[in-house]
Amino acid sequence: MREYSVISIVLLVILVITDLRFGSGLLRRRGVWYAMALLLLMTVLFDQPVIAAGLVKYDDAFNSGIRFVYMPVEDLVFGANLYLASMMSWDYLGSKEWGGK
Amino acid sequence: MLEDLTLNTYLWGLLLSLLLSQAVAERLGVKIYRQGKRLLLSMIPVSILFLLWDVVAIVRGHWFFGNDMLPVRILGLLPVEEVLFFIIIPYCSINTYECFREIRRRGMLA
Repeated sequence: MREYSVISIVLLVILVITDLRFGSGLLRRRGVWYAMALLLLMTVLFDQPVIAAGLVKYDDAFNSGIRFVYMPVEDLVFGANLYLASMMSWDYLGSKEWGGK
Repeated sequence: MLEDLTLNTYLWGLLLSLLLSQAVAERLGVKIYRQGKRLLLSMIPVSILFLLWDVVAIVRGHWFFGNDMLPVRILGLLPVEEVLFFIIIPYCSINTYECFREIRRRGMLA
């Protein structure tokens, strides 16, 4: 089963819904999209040498098998999860309930 | 154990990411580390959650590592680079987020 694809997409959907419905709606702010675009570009650039060097390897039985050069496309979804979760967590702790702005 | 650590491509990439992100932040006067408690409290759950995902993926075989290349393992499973990744990259994410907020605040981007 394409477990890597499924896990990464399901978690991203959960994060997006959490942000838009229950959170502060980070994804409605343009700055977040700029940050996300830059971080994903960096992901593509930094993933290549690490995978090309054989430091990290992927079993294509668990992903879509679609690769952007060396990088499985699922890595972008993984990255989006990590970046968005970090920003949401930071934003949440900066909110009024936590003594922030 | 740590004497087996080599400055491999993975570590270089992490250090470079941190340096790049921090260099831009410094230029913009963005200092997220000044809010140490908020930073730590927001990073810890994210790091733990994604390290758990990492462990599940490694155990299931979604991805694996060139054994001789990343020899320093935590609990005999996680390469130390992987643990650093889940500390450095959340930091870079928050840093990048705050940098773009500052850039937009200054009207340098729509």
